[in-house]
Amino acid sequence: MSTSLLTRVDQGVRNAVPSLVTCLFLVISVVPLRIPLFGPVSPLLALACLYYWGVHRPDLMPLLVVFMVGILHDILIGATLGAHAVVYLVSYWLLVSQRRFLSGRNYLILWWGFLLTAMIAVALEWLVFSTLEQHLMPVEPLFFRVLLTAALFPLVGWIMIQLHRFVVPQPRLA
Amino acid sequence: MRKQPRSMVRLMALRGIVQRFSLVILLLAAFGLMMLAKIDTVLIDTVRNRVTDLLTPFMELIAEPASTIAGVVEDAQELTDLRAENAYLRQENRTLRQFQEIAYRLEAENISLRSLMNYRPDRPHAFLTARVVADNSGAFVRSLGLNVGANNGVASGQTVLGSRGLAGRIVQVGDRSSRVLLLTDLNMRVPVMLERSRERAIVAGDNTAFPRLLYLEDEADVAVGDRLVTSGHGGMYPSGLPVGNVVSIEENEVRVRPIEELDRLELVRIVDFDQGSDAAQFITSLGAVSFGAGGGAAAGSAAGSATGSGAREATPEPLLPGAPLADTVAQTPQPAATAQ
Repeated sequence: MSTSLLTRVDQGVRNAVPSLVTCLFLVISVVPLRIPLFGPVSPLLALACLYYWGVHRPDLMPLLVVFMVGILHDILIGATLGAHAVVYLVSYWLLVSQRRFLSGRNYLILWWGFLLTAMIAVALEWLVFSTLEQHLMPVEPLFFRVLLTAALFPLVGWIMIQLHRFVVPQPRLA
Repeated sequence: MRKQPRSMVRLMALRGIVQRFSLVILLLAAFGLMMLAKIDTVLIDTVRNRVTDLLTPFMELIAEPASTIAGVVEDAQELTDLRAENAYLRQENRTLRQFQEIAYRLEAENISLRSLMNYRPDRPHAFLTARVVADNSGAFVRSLGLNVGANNGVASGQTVLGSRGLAGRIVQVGDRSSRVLLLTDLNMRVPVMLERSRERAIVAGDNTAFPRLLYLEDEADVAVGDRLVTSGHGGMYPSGLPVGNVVSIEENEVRVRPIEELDRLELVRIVDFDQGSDAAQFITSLGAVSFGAGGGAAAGSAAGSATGSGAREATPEPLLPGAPLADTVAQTPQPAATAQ
């Protein structure tokens, strides 16, 4: 009995890893780097995490977690609560709806898919914030934000693959 | 016995519905939160402050190594252009010495005129130095997270200065953390005047690196390079704090370069001009708010010898370097930063 409980706790902790790592990447993305003009183009690291788990193990990244990641993002950057929740929810939903096309494909296609997801997410971000502030936000930094986010995807993806392999084993067939 | 399965079935059906419509439900929740934030800011702010308080020590932990790495990269960059910088600094030093002479003369003249006019000096101010632990200056919000909060006497509305001049204003305060809205943020408005022509205007952030100058009169005497200082109108900021320089003048748009490098701030000074805070961490200074290389260095060294719960204390420095003036400042109450 205690063994089965331990197994369940162990599995629970393993299953929580994708959510916790996404939150960690979110916190890392707001640490001050003191690089001039970096702020407006800072990459959406959490989106890369959401994308990876959305394609490979959407069961470990439920919509409620995506919502909470968005709320945490808003709290961390001092934005209106709910703004990034909308951005992440819609992007994630679109991603999961295209999952059949992306899953099992080679790395270049996954990267291309992420570039598209990042474009959609940043465009949504722009739309939500422009509406909230009733002011058209500057567009120029957003191109670089998309490019930088996409450029960092291999690094984030590599870390996620390691985590996927060692921390979250494929569910056993029982 | 028969009822239980039926209720289980109902529960399962409900769960199915919730799962099926979870996207819509969560999206509605997100929109609801956005609406709530517009109506009831107290509740939202409380939640926000609690979470930020919880995360701040963790972010401080990450910010330290990140800051060290950034420092090493900066050092390496500086080593490569040491010679050019040296020549530039020599030139600047010569210019500054001339300014120092002028300042001594003006200071002396001010003191004598003040005594003649029976001038009532500004109230003393108090300040404390804080470390930037979160840089949230993304494309949509321009703000910084600090490692001090209400426990250290920080209150909403207090002015935040860098080593050269105005950086922003405290807008959100938790127990152990606070948030600074930067000069470049869309919601930031600062009443200023042009130091040379005394024309009044408003510096308005628009989320770009160079805020706009609004409400300047059509015939206003303004030139590229003009220095802007706070005018003190509206009572939000005291007068005379350096804000920036005019960087471009186009047909109906004047842009300002903030005096502070807002994306490179590591330590900031929170100033309480109203003396509303009685917290021990705030140090009261009788002198004027001082800026320049000395200010940054003092803040840095003070951070090294930090005491208490993350609060950094800095000692007041005189308006200008030099022993004779420091003595005069200590003896004579001082008005705001610029001699009026």
